[in-house]
Amino acid sequence: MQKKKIIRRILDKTTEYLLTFSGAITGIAIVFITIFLFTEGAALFKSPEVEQGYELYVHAQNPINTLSPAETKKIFDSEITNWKDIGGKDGEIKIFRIDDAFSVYPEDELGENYALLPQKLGELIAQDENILAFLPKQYAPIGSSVKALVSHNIQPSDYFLGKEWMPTATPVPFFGVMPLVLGTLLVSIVALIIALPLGLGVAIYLSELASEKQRRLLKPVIELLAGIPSVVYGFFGLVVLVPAIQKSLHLPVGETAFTGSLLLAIMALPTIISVAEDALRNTPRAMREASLAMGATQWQTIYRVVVPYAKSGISAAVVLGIGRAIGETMAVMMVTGNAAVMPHSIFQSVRTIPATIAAELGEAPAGGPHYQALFLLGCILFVFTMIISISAEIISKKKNYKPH
Amino acid sequence: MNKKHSQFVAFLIFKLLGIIVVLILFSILGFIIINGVRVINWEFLSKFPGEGMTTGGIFPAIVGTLYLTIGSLLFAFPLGVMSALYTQEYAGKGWIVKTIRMMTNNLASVPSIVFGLFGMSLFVNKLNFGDSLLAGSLTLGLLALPVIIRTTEEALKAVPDTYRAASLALGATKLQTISKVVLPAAMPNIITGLILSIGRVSGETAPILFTVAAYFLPHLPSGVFDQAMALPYHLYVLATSGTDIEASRPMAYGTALVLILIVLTMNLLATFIRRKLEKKRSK
Amino acid sequence: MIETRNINFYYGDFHAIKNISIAIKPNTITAFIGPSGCGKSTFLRLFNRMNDLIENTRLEGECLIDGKNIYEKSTDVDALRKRVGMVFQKPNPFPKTIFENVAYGLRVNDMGDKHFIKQRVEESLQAAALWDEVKDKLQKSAYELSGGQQQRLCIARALAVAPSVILMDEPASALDPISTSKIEELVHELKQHYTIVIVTHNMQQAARVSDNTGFFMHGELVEYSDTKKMFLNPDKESTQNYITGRFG
Ligand SMILES: Nc1ncnc2c1ncn2[C@@H]1O[C@H](COP(=O)(O)OP(=O)(O)OP(=O)(O)O)[C@@H](O)[C@H]1O
Ligand SMILES: [Mg+2]
Repeated sequence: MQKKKIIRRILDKTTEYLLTFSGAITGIAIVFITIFLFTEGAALFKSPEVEQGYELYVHAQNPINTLSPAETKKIFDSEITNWKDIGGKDGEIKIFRIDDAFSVYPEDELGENYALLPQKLGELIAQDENILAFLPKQYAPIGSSVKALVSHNIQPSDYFLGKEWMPTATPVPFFGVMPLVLGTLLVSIVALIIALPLGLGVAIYLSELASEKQRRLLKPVIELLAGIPSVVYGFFGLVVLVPAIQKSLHLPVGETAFTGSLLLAIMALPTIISVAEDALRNTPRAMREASLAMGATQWQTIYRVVVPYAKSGISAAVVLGIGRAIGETMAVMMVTGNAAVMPHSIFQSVRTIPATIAAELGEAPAGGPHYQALFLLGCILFVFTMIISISAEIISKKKNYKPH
Repeated sequence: MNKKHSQFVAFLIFKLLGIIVVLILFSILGFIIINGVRVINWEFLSKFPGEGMTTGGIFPAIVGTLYLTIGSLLFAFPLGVMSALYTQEYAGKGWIVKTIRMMTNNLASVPSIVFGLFGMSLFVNKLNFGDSLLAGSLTLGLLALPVIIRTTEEALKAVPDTYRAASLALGATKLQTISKVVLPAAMPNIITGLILSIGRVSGETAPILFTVAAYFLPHLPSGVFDQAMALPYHLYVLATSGTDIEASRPMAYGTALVLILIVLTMNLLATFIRRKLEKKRSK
Repeated sequence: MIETRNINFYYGDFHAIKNISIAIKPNTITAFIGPSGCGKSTFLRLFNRMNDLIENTRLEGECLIDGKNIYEKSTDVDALRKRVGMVFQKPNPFPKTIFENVAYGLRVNDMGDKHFIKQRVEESLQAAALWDEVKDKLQKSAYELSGGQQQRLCIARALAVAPSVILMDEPASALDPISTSKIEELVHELKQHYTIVIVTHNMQQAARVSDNTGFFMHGELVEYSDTKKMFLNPDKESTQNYITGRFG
């Protein structure tokens, strides 16, 4: 008897420790994911603006000591061609790339493993004050008449407020997330504007007007639709929506922000319908009866009593819908065309944050600035959805009136 | 306009709306079913893709998805259920539990691509698992974890406190109370949560893009460090980047239908098991 | 004047009301008593067609109010319910302000302008003996009131649309003794202007407030007569047993 009791107690305690341990693991895992994302992302601001592993070199006499990313880009795009335009001496800018070295010097002059290349490059730059050389650091030119331009680290303002996303441009990649953020918001908000009224309407129809038989048929199908993988919706969008939109709106391509919104709206509808329907049906019978017993019509009862009562449930559904839309990756990626430009119209191609991550992560070298920039995009998504889920929680907790 | 007329107009609008939206949604389903049914046969389910994915079947993708689903839930289900038991039955109402709960809630709403990002960086690169079933399963498992915790917590919460009190008052220990009273009562809902997360995990594309999914493999994965094909990624590939997209369309319809069928089966199974267990319990 | 003729009512196959005929005179208080599940609420809810809301039910017979069968096809159900008010067992104010709760019936029935509504709300609250307690917090949520106050608010809400009949289904069962006696007083007051039918489990309450009493059992109206007679000298033995508490 005594023995049994002891065993039982030991079992009890062991279980408790085991469960506590799993709780702790889960907690730690979650914290870890968060910290991990943010440290990987924040590392971007320790990376130089110039493409990784490269540096810009000029003649030591050149008064220019540093170039902003925008200036560098314009020079390499031949929009700025004279040093004068950026505060230097009058003289045409001569761009020199590493490939050019091989046309100047035959390969056998450069020694084994190009050991002589840095020196040759140094001589070359020393000859010409107007040269702007973009060279790998490993072949950094040697010589007293050469100087490297001071390179800054990428600034948070360049990232968060930048209007250009050109992660693989040389010599300076641009990591401005504005077009992506705006693209994401545009696609999601338009989707919600389409899906909300429709979803609420159908929810009201299902919960208040449809017969029991209709509801029993429709509810499971709608739940099934809510569970269908997004890639299937994406496929549907690609083969049906894209050509349909292109033809009906006479657009050059059917892959537009609007296509994405429409598809997202279709995907969000089942969720919105089923959550809102639940909220509506949770309105106590007593409330409906009280209203009807006063001589109110069914419609008056719905919009004066049932909908206000279900308000917090409905708004939670809305907020969750926004969260879903913002984070949706595959379907949107398949139908929006993915042009990373500032959106001007919803009938243009756009690129969203999740689609950017999915499309570029494969090519971004691990640990490089591009990779880090994508992590930072992940952080932005994380923060977005966190704000949304917290507000959903606050809304659904806040019952405007609590019965005793 | 009196109140009867406005009711008439409003109901007319809602009925039309209901019919239109339901028709649209059903037609999507119908579109894929009609196009997919023509393709699905035994050969499609049991063969490897051939000729640049324009013929053959999707067998390796089915197997890959099966492995990934099992692998991810093997780790997420026990951990999730135990964590939920801890927060719901053992931990007090202190700030630690509140924080864990808040974080699981947040994690449940984090987009799946973020999990992919994390999984690739940690499992594939830092821990050096490479693109592998292991990395993919762990990533998908993390995605399923908050969902399982949440459904389990809800299931435990739905067990009335009077059950616990009654059991404890009879001299049962806490463990006995949980294993004999609380868990059996909560089981239908926990199982439903598990089955629904199977449906979810098997259809996710974004988390496996960079952790396991292969464009094409001529053989099945033979160990946890192997890459694998998977149904959702296969559909993505067929739809967007096959060698001959038009010719691989039928394959894509078939794959899409298989994905829908998986979700359908899981939904039906969940309903079925739930009914069965509830019936058994009320006997 | 309410009259039923051979009313039968079914929930699916379940025969809940069995062939009941009854006549209720205007400006009287009628109490329905009987064991739980005997059909009192079901019967009461026939008078304002509240049972229409429950699916899969069936009715036979006639129910006449002021000489017209309310179950005729041509009946305007909303108008009927406006004429026949109802107070439920549990207080069920809307999640709105106190003022809006009382004004609700006036608004949905398009009765009068702002000024009229304001006046009517005050009158109704006064008639429900609640005015003094809430006149300074009309814009507060109805859920800030106590249970007893909420129930009187629901009575005020029913009075506001000026019904001729008020149905009350155990209006005091969820309340404390003081609130209960307030409601009873109120019912007594209201008798001058309204026909009142009240369901109650409380024998003393039935004896105190009602003029006539109906005793129900298993869906049948066992006995219906003057309250004094019913309590002092019932015709049927089962009535006697129930009233004296000897009923199982
Ligand atoms: N919505 C319903 N569906 C099916 N049966 C019902 C329904 N409402 C009531 N019943 C049945 O009809 C019978 C009468 O119910 P009713 O509510 O009228 O009883 P009651 O006399 O008011 O009881 P109580 O004193 O407990 O309120 C009961 O046997 C009940 O089970
Ligand atoms: Mg009753």
